[in-house]
Amino acid sequence: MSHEDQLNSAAQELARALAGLSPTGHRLDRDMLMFRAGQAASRRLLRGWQSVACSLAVLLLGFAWLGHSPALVPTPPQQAKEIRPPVVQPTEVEPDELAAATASRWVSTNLGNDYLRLRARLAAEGLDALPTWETTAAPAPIESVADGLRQGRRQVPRTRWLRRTSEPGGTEQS
Amino acid sequence: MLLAAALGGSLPLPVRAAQEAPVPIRLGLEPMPAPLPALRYLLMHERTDQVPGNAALAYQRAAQVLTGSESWQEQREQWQKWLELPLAELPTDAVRQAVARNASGLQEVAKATRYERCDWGIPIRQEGMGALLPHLSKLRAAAHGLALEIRLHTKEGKHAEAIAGLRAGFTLAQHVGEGETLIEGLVGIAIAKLMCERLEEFIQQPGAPNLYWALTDLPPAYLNLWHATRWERCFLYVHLPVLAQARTGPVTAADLRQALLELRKITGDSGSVAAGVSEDDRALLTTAAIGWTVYPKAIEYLRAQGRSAEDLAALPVAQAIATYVGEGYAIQRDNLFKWFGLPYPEARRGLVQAERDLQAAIAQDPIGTLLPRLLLPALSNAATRFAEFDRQLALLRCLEAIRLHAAAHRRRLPATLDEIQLVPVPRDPMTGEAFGYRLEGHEATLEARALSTQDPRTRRTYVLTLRP
Repeated sequence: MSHEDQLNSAAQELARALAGLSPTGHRLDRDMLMFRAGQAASRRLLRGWQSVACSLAVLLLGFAWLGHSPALVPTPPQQAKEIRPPVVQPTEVEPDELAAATASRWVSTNLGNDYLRLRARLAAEGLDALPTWETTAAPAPIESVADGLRQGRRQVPRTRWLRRTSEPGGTEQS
Repeated sequence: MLLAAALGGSLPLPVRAAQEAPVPIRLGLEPMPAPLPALRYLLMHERTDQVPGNAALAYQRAAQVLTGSESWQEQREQWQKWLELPLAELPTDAVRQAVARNASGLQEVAKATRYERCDWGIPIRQEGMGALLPHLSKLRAAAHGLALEIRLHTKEGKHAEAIAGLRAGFTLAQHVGEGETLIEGLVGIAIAKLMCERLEEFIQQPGAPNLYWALTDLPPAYLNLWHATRWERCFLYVHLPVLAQARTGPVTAADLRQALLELRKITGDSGSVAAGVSEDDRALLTTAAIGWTVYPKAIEYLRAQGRSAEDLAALPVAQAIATYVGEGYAIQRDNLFKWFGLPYPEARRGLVQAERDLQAAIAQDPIGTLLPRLLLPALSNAATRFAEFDRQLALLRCLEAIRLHAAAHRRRLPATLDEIQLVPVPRDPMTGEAFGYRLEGHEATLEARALSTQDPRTRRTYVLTLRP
């Protein structure tokens, strides 16, 4: 059965179903509807004011902390008495430990940045760490698009990357 | 960088392979004197053979020709397999056909290496670590293509063609490696190492010219760590200029908030923002939280630096935090980068110490050391990669010195490396000491020792015999 035949039979069935319906009067209570609409509108307004007030409070607190000099804000808790600058006194290194310490201990660091991640991988693995950067899909030939439209097909012809290997010129891609 | 898509977002980093010493490499060498004139064979183009212009465009065109074919994917895998085979097992006919199919692409690569400069035009000053490097992966294809062609010529005994291929390969490595980023430096090193492996195969062939002076003639600063890390040490200030200006100019809360937004790009933090909270609000809240935690440490630090109580009282919170975080980063960064200008044997101890200092600082103050923790790892590892390449070149020169000596001494291997007087024998660039060498009967062993008993992978051993 062709696509058009399927469509026609479905449309006919729908037409039959619609023809079988009988009109009835509406069941809406206009007064109740207006009451509910007003109630919903006032609730939305209240929520908006609550959000604005909360956001302003957060922003004001933040700016109050950051925008002023310490003389104008309460002194932060002095729990940092034992903290020193991040400079560490050197210690003696045994020569035999040198290479082990410079080995890629850091490679396992969870780096979110592509640059840093690739840098770590290249330092550890060499050229094979480079990702494969294949050519992108070739544009579909204009003739094939025109053919498709002429024949009434609704889909754009697939590029070679999306064709199956069984198709001419296709490569297997998942 | 580019690589968000190519890396697939969050590829897991590889688990380190078991630390095993590499197996000794057996080489059968033919005694060979130096060519006359000494620089008859070169591994870099002469100035007169170069052409004016920018090689970058030519490389992109060449890579497009090489990788643009329908069958590129299959071809790439096949090339990889052929490069891993021992030279004797290389299927000559199939490789010859593959090279012929890609002749135009490979010729384009060779032509590109003749340009006297190479500027990839990366907007590093504007985009820092966010700049795209789309050329690198395609140039790997070019390097593999060249390497395969060199292997073919080597196996066919076409010495001049093989040396021309090596020249193109070493120049390609230089053009890539002298880019702006450490990533390009490391890719350059990797390509050059690929060429060193080809050279190692080449010098074993009957009648192969001696390349001692060709290797010695490589530029003194060929692929060096100092150059490769010039931008690396400034990247943070491209993204967070507020840290550079904290000492000299005022830093406001808005500056700090903007820095936090930018920091999210560096860390790759793509965590979902809570409903109803904008990026700006989130940065604000984070700033406030960091301020609360870091500020006391910042004050402590600045006091230790000699700032008076009056100074500190007048210093805005944001400026105190930016100064503390910025200088904390600069101290750890310089503690590492200051060694990159030194030869590796002199720098090694310092590099290890810098790593230890960093770990200690992180343990002491995890929040204040966020930036060093993010940006400095893997750098001493990169230093080791550069040194390993220097060692590989030195070993090759050493092998060629031995061939040269044997040619002048009735085809005999030297009893010691000191016996070689015709040319200087290079020392090991990783240790600063002489390479290990011993002669037992007709077999000699040349050895670059492991840097540590804990990591024997850095050992490299050649077992040498002379062909009759």
